[in-house]
Order: sequence, then structure tokens, then C-alpha cells
Amino acid sequence: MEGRPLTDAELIEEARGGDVAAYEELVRRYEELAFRTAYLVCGDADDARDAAQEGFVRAYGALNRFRAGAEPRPWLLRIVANAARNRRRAAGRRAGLALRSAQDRPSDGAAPSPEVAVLAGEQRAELLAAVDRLSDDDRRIITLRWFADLSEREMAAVLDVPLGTVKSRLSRAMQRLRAVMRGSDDRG
Amino acid sequence: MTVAEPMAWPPRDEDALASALADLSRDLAYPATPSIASAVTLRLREGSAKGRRRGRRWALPARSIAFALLALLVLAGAAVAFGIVIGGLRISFAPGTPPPLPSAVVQSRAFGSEVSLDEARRRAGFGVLVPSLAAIGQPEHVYFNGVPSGGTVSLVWGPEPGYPASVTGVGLVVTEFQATVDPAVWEKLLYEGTSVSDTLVNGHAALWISGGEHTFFYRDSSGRRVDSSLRVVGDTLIWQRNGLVLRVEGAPSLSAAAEVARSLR
Repeated sequence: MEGRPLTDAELIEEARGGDVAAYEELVRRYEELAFRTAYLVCGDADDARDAAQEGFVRAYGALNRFRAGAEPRPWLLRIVANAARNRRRAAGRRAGLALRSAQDRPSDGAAPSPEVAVLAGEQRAELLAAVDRLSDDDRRIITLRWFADLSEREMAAVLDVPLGTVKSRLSRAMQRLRAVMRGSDDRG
Repeated sequence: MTVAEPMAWPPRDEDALASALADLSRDLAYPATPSIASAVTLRLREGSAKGRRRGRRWALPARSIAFALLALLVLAGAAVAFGIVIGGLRISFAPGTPPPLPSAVVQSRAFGSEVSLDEARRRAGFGVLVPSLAAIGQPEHVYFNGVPSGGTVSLVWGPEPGYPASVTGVGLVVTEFQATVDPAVWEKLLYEGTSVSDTLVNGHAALWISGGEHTFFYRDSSGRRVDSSLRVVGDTLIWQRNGLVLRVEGAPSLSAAAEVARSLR
């Protein structure tokens, strides 16, 4: 037997045959991403954990509808995000951005990567506060793209909208974020 | 070589904003990701076990199967992560040693809310049994908790002669709830060094869990573990009788626990 770890597709195939251990391995691979995505959608750690659990249990029941050869990541994220949305609605609260910026990274640390901007601590705090002031929809699309690091195609799956809609919504949300930061707050 | 430059602020255009967001994202403090995979697996196994019970009415009662499995496990000396459900109680084995002790003496939240014995009798969906043993007398505290259906009643005594204080300051606990085929809502996690043997209480099959430390949880309706830090008492006798799951915890020996058990009226 070769020691290579099974691919996602192989794990799904095993899980379809009733192998719960194979499914557990798949869940392990995606639990952090699923939890953080759910957290960004519903804004509460307990709800996010429950939504991720519920999503993975539902996905297991839907394995036979999963198209062979498709990417499991967007498919799983979509189911988890749905569960998270339902929980947010049930809780009836505005999904505030509960994230904080870690304070321990020095803003003028040594050897910054040349490709990315390096923000001062107060700039990070200001940017985070601006993201928090956006509408729920704008904030969700921005956090999914930049904080959960989803591709636009994955966002389309998570938000259940066409790819073109993701692109246009993201672009508008970015404009409004810039407006908030300029202080003009013209969110239209 | 390109050198990082301080960014114009606020970001000048969308690319600069995207770059700033990417920088921010490396710095965000997410809540720690809880262990989701094992909980999912537990739910899937519970679900399929439930399906099998429904589908096969001629099968041995789940209880008999659980006892047979348990006996096999004990014989094999296998302390593995494996759950056994008896009524609404799941008994699982965990590797290693338990987490550090809770600082609170008794976290009564897991017992539920403190009530009078009369109120417990009114609220419980079953006839509450109380030990009639002069040595321990009436329970000092009575708790009622709404899970599982019919509720759970816990009778608690402080340290008594013959029932020394456990690590959490409780002498003896008698717990009663209705047996159910629902997935386990009460959970006992056994660590290495704990042994399980089967015995009889008034002719009813019973388990005696002794020797090591065990942790006690319950699961709420969404399957989440509540009060995972609770470690109430020591050795435990568990049995089922007329649709009730009964537990005596904290007695110093099997014979002392059986004495409490036999005195339940």
C-alpha cells in the first residue's frame, strides 16, 4: 500500500460507500475554513461551530448528489454557509463583525514582504472599523473574499449567486468601503 | 528588488484597498476552531445506529448489544475512543488523562436548577425514587434539568461518613432520567485507568465504573457538549429499571453503591 494521503475525491468516494472515517478525514481538512466562513457569515463562534457541524452532517447525507469530479471545497462551503445563514436569521441579529485585529504584530516589523502593503496598527484598526460599518451584504462579500480568502467562484457557490453577480457586488462593496474610509459615507 | 513603501492612506484605489485588506486578514484573531470532525462523526454514527434500530425490530435490544460490546471491550482491555449508548447515556473511552480540574467545587449548571424534592416530583415525567437509607438521610440538594424528555433529577449529598468528599466536594449523587432511544444526551468519558464491569442490581443488568477519573457531559438538543469541565464524583453504578436510567456516583465501593441502589423507593 502506498503511503500517499487520499485525495478529496477518493475520500468522497469512500464516504459514499458508507466509510464514516473517510468522511471524518475530509471534514478535518475543511473544518477550519468552514468554521471561519460560517463565523464570517453569522458573526458568532458558537453558531459558527454548530453551523459547520450541521453543514457537514447535511453534506454527508447529500453525498450521492455530489457530482463526481467536481471540487468539494465550494460545495461544502455552500452547505455550511447556508446553515450559518439560517442560524443568523433564527437569531435575528445583525451579524456584526466580531473579529479583532491581533495587536501583537509590530506594524514596523523587519523584512516585510515587498508585494503587500504593510499597515500601521492604527490603519488596521481603522480599516477593520470601516469594514464593520458596511451593510451586512457588503461586509459579507468583502470578508469572504479577503478574510476567508475564497475565490470568486467559491463565493458564487457560498452566496448562491452567479459569478458575474459576485464580481459586480464585490466591486460595489469595495467602492463603498473606500467611501467609508474617505469619510464621505456615500453608501447609496 | 522592490521595497515595501508606506501606503498612502486612505488607500488611493481599489488595488491599494485590496492589498490593505489582504494585509489585515493575516492579522485577524479568529476564535480558535473547535474540533468539528469528531462531533460530525459522532452524529453520523448516532444517526446510522438509530436508523438500524428503527429498521430492525427483531434485533436484540440495543441494551443487550451495548452490554455485549462492553464486555468484549473490557475483555480486550481496549480503551479506545468508542461510544456505547445505554438509554440516553453514552459511555466513551478517551486516551490519556483528563484535563485539569475545574476550580469550582460544584458546577451545578450541569445538574440543572435547584428545586425542592416536591417540585422535582411535579416536573419529572416519571416517578422520582429516593434512597431510604438512614446513613445518608434525605438529599441535601435536588436539581432538575429539562433534558432528555421527562427531565433529569439529581439528588446530591455533601460528604457524609462513609461517603468522602470527591475532588469536587460532593459526597454522593443519585441521578435519574428516562431511558430513551434518542442519541445520547448524557455522556461519560472514561480515561485510562478506569475499569468497567457488569453486575446486577435487584436483578437488573448494571455497570460499575471505577478506578480512574471520568468526566461527565450532557449534550443539548443541537448535539453540543455542555459543561465539559464537570467532574462530579468518583466510582459510578449505572443501571436501567422500568424505563429509567439510574446512576449512583460517589459511593466508596460497589457494595455501598448497591446498598444505595437497593434502597431506592
